[in-house]
Amino acid sequence: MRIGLVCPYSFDVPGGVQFHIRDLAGELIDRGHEVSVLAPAEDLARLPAHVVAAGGSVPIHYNGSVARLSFGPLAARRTRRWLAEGAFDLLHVHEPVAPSLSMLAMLTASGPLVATFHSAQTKSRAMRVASPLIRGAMEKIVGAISVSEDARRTVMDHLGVDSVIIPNGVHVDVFAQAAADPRWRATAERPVVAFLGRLDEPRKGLKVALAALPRVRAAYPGVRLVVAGAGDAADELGQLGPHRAAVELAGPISDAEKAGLFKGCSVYIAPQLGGESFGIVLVEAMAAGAPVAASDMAAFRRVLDDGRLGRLFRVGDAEDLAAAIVATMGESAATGRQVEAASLAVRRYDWSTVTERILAVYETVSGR
Amino acid sequence: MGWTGSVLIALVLAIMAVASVWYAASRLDRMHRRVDNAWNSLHLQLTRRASVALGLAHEGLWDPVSSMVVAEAARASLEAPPWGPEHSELSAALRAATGDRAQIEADLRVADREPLLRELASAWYRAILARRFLNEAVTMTVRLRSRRLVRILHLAGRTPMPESCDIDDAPPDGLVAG
Repeated sequence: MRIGLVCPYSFDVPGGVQFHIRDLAGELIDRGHEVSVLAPAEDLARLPAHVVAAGGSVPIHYNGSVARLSFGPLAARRTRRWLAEGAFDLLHVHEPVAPSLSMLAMLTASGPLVATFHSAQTKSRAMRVASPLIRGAMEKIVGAISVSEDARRTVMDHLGVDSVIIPNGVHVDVFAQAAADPRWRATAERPVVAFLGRLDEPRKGLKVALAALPRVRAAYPGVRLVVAGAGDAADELGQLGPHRAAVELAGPISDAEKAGLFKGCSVYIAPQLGGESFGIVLVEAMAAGAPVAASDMAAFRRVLDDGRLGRLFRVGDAEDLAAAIVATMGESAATGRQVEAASLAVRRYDWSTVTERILAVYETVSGR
Repeated sequence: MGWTGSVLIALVLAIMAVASVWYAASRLDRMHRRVDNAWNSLHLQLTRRASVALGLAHEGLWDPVSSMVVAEAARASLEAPPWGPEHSELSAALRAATGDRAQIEADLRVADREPLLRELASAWYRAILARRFLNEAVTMTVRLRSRRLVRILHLAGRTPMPESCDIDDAPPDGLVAG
């Protein structure tokens, strides 16, 4: 099948939607399909051959974070040309309500169209402004997919569109078989708490993690908080005083380093404050066999099966997070049971299952 | 304002009215085609599911009585229109033949049964998708046709109001993962 994938966010910066599209394209190519990805990108040297750059992007506040989106006449022209030259059997756009390439592609497209909704926070104000045109474009979506129950409800409430749930994919075996990175391997005296996410994006919850640190240190004086991710958090770190010594900044890390960090850490924490519809990193940590503790928000509660697969703490509550970390490291039998159950539960997120389901949607939509 | 100004305004309003009617009509036309395509797709996927079921009945996946019942239901499903009750009967026959979750999980661990069950699961999932996509298209079309502009100008013409498909396609517990 000739498949066109449209990514709304710039390939120059890392992000969940970008990774999902990159991996999906790889899986489809492995199964013998022809794939072309249209995405905003400027750094052409790093792009794989099947990615077509739609030009530069502009930082826009969208869904609680800053997204780099492409729009305007040049982007529209390049989208039309990509569609015409691609002659795709099937077009698959991601995050179709973001004002971006995805929407441009939908407005132009005439063939079978699949759309994946990633976000659980749709900007309804933006949607009301352009409502009639967008409604027309939404009617072209023959197969709508949401990555989680939360995303599905958002799409239902805001757009009145029902969708099937297919979660984001994870290479479960890559994480399960990774070796612990010696730099971040936990020992009995020096347990490791792992945090991942942009440091300067408040909703990722670094502040909550830092605020929990003193209480964790009271129970485990040798604890190391390993913070992986891009961005600057000098202000928050400066306020830590004596506890600053327990924080290690790993900077942005590669996928292999991420697996190595999860494999050796004592607990992975996900203190996000909101705006998460799925929690792919949580699944990756579980696949690597890391005990996990996450904010008690709907998306994470579902991934952790209401606490059967990991501990949940009140959103934004540093005290509760500290208690969850201490419990995870102290109650080893209970934690072990959670980790074992989690390693089975994550199989449904494996790319083999996810790709099979997405292909089922493609075939149903294109009538093959 | 002179009469030329009035004529100009009237002209612009007329053009806008025509454009909005044309836009509504083209959206409606697209939705009607989408509903037609969705019925075709559902028919195709139900036919595939019935073929797989018939194949499994001949492969001896089940006991002889179950195989006979499934084969009979599958043949009826193959000849039925996509809205026919025959598909619901095949679903019921297959649910009885494949057994409960424990039975399916046990069968999935048997080397020569696993691929057959996976084939059924795969075909069944596609049939479920096709019906959901059809019903979504029907809902959208009905919503569009209830708009005042569409009703007053009879933009739908003589195309009958689309109906959703309510066959029973609930899969056996544990066969098609949620």
